This record gives sequence, structure tokens and C-alpha cells, in this order.
Amino acid sequence: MEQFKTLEDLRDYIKTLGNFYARPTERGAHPTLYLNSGEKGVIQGVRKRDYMFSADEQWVLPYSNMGLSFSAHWQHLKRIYRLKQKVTGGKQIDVFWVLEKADIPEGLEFQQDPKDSQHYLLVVKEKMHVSELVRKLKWIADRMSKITSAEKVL
Amino acid sequence: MIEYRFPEEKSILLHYAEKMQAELAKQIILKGSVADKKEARVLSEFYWCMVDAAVADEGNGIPVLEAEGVSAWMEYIFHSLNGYLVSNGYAEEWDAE
Repeated sequence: MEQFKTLEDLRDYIKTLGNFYARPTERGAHPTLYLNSGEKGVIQGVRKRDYMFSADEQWVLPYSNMGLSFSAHWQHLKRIYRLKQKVTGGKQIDVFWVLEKADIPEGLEFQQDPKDSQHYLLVVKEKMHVSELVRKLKWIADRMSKITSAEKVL
Repeated sequence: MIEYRFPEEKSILLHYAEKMQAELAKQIILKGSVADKKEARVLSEFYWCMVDAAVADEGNGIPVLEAEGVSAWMEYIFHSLNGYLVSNGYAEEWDAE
């Protein structure tokens, strides 16, 4: 997919395409996995608190209110971008995004956060092994577009 | 009422409210809601200052922060407060720098 230099470019472009889901991440970090973050509580790059794991932590179980976090509105993205800047000590932040209508792997689905209409969760719809979830999250990441220097317009 | 995804979020907020001597914010967190724009502004300012404080002390003294990282927990708390403040009409106060 085409790369954009600013969010204004991106906004103009996707207005014609539909809604989007976006995640700001520290430059160099994986868009959908927590690799090399130094965080504990992470299994193969997946935060344990983002999904419902089986007792042996080998399987991810379907649960509608848990999933990887995405912004579905510019204002939400602006706020979470501000947070990312603070917690990374002012490091460069990139924004990865995918269109609402884009294909995602079977067994995963974007669901609106019941407490926040501008926030979506990438939930698991069927039991799957952690390695399968990781593979699917990588698949999505490979198809996400990236925008840099978003702070100029956010 | 502010709905937290994880109960530890409220404990973290109260820990920093005490540490930062943010009495008004502490009272808002304890009662679990904001009454008006002024209180929304107090809670918002406290949250963003708390993020700076937690980054600075690396969550020292709070086991769950030390174990899982400040970044993850500041994000969980963000989502709880964001959902509450925006859905209750306090987006402007929440967005204030």
C-alpha cells in the first residue's frame, strides 16, 4: 500500500476509502507484537493482559472484550500518540494503520470497545495456539501502512 | 462511574496521587466519577503528570509496574480514563495540554 508522509495526506486519502484502525509505536518496534520491549508479562510478543490465555499459556481463548488495541478515530489516535511520546521519553513514533475493510485472518475480528466508540480491539473469535495468533498478527503487520512524522499534524 | 479494565489501575492511580500529593485527584479517584469540567481537568492533569512520574521512577514500589512495565499500565489506565471522560462529555478537558 502507498506510504504517506503526513497524516493530512493520509486523511485526505482514506476519506475516500472508509474507516481505519491505527496503532502508534516506537520507531523500530513491531506494529502488532511486543518484541524486544523489555516488558515482562509477554508471551511470544503478545501481552498476556491483551488476550485470554489458557492455564498453561499455550492457547488463546475467544473473549470479546480483550484484544490488541487500535484507534479508530483521529482524536483517539492523537491522544494515544501523546502517551507513546511520553512513555518513550520523546522517541520517534510511527503510526501503522489498516483500513476497516481490509482482509484480516480468519479467527480474528475488530470489535468496538464497549466503553469507547473510538477504540477497537482485535479480538480472537476462536481458540488458537499462541504461535498461530503470532503468525496472524505478523500477517496483519505485514499489510499495515506506516506514517512517520505524525507529530507535525496530530 | 469510571470502569477499570484491571483493578490494579485504581491502585496505581491512588499510589501516585499520594506520592504527588494530589489530594483533589485522589478524592475524584476514590469516588470514581467527575462532577464537572473542573474535576475533569483535575483528573486529566493528574493523569498526564502521573505518566511522567511513573516513567521517571520506573514504577518503583508497585510490583505490577515493576514486573510488567510502566508503558503497558499507563496505556491500560489511559483507555479506562479516555473511555469515561470522552463518553461523559469531557473530551476538551481531557485533551488540554
